[in-house]
Amino acid sequence: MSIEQHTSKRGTTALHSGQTPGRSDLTVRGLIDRLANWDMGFVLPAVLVMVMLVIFPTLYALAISLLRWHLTEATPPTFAGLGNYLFLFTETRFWEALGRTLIFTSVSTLATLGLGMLLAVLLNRALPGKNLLRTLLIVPMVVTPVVVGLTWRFMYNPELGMINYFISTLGFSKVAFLGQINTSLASVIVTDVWQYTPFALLILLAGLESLPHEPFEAAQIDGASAFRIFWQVTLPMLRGPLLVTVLFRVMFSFNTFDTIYVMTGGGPGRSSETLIMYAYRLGFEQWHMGESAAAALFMLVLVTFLTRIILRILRGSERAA
Amino acid sequence: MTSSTRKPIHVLSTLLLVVTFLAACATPASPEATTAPPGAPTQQGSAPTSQPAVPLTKMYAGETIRILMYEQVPTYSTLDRLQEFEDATGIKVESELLAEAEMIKKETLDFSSHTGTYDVTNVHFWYVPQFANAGYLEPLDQYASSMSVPEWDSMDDFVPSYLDSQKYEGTLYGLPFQGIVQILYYRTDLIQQYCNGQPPATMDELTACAKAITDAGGGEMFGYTDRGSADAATFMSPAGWIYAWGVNFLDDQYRPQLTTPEAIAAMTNYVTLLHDFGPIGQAGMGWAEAEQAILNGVAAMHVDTHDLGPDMVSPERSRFPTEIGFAMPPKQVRYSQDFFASGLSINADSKHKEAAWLFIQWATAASTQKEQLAERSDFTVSSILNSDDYQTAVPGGSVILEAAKVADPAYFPAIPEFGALSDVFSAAVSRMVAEGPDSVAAQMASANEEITKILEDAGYYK
Repeated sequence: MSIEQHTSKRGTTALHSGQTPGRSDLTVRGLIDRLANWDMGFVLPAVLVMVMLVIFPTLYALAISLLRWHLTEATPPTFAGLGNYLFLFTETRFWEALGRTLIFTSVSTLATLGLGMLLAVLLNRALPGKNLLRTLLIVPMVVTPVVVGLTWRFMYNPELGMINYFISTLGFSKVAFLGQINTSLASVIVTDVWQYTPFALLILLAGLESLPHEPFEAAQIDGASAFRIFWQVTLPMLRGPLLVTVLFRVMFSFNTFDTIYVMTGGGPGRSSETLIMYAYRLGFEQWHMGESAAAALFMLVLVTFLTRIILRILRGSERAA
Repeated sequence: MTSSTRKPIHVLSTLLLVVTFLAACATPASPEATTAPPGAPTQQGSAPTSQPAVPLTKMYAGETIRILMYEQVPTYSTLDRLQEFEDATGIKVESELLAEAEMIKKETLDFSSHTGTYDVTNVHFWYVPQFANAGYLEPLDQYASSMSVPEWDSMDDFVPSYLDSQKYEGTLYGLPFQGIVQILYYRTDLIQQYCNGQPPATMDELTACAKAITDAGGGEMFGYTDRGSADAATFMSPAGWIYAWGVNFLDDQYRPQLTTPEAIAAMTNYVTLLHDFGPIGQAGMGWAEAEQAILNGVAAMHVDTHDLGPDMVSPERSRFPTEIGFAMPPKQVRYSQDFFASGLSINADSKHKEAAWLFIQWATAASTQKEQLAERSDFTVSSILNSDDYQTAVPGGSVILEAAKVADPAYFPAIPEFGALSDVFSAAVSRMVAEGPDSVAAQMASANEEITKILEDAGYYK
């Protein structure tokens, strides 16, 4: 008897037959029996976990975002409707933070992608010690972001940092990378790129290694240059891994918090304050939970929208392939 | 019910009556096993009717309290002696230690969710108004008056400014566990060489001395360093600088004073010191980096909290341990301030408030603090700060005592919205330090406007 027949006979049929369950079906054993034979029983644990860890917190955040709830006030939370969203949309600081987030995300994603691709192409050859090199290159990705932030903060230090040491040995004056308004965001982006380039490398290298050899051999026989092969053969065939990399990098970069918090705290001024930093400050420095939840939900909607676009492109490319 | 089941119930009832009668006729076992003090708060918050005849310290034996504190030397020093408290009271203490920022988040969420997970927590003085206003903290005046354990009672011994910092609208919400005041750290050799041998006493002298050292430093040595980053801890130094010029951050009507001539002059001086005479990258330097600058010999002077003293003279931490001097903070109209106090408070949702009170009384007692003389410097009782032992054991001890006398928490806007104010002002300070003194007027006006809006929204100007 197949699973479908078994399920139909003991579960679905019984449920749709309109018969009153027998006395034995009302026992715990009977309920467990019926649940075990119910199709949805297989996915129920996963659904419960999703509800507890994703859906409930999201709905709770949505509920909070509709409240005026300041932990500094003795009064209980009151319904604010869309007031918190309106507050955000009228705040210059919110739009500035959004702008910085988009710059951070786009520059970091593109740079990660470019460097990851370069390294993947280099490692996709018969190199001595290739496996060791690959292992060493993924080290930044497995380091805790807080440790990465502290390490780079020290490296950027004008007096004690390694970067300024090399700059001064070249005869240039020292630069306060994290202490200047026009360099702080760029400095944090560099750190983010350093940490997550290995992620792009891993996906793209796996993609490169799985490509068939025939198209490359055909292109070589036709006399195509290395650049043309890369541009017209490799890249189109790697479209899937590239889009997956972009998808994950956009999600990661949009939510980067630890590194920025440790390195600049959003400063100097607010020159490196991204949306997530702003939401954090609203919630855990100003204790305005409603506004903070609204900012977080706005981010969720925006990231979902961006990922939908990327997924649509990805599906399009899969259909074309 | 059968007669066989009724019989044991009759026997038990009779026994219970006999025991109750005998207990009612009993006298106290000994004269010293007295009752609880009159008016002592009870677990239910009502006046006590009759208390068991045991000493106050043993009255809550068998209870377990949970405390949340942050990881730092005073916490470790106190908890190392926890057995003394447990032996004296029979109360079991379960402690949870977290990094400072994490502890603040956790206690705030515990308070706001009213779960009462923690009976006692560290509360920084700037959070006292916020938490008290929201009803998160248990008022302690009644406990202080009626549940005093004589050997632990330091109410008259606490440094007044530290004790005041634990009050909100006249009500006591914590006992001062840790108190820190501001002093000037300076390099004695450089002051001797460039500043006539005397540490600067006024803001003008400080600025002139910082300029002289920076001019002679050739880009390797700078005259002064302080907090310039955009994080919340930066708030205190510039707010204390404004206080020195004679105005408080907020006036009596809660109006920010950032556009007053005094505040502009104060911040112009602060920004000039950091931007022109401070190390490169001051706008990204918090208190830890500023401390490092003087420990590494990059900066010659630093005004900050007195608990940095042991680091300054430590051969392991400092490059110039024997060339660090201590002096009073610089003065304009008043001494600048960087006052800090952290107390121990009782959660209003605690189920063990009396046991918690005994704990915070013990943890902040002069007798408990005195045992820690070799381990810390941030004591909160006058008897220790005034003692010869303290003066000799703690680097800069005599200066700390003088600074404690002029310490004034009033420099700080102790209102529930402090977090929002700090967020705005610290970012403005960081920007001013990055851009230089010319940006002060515009940034102060912008911060003033933003803070006014926050306080208006919070209902201060109705």
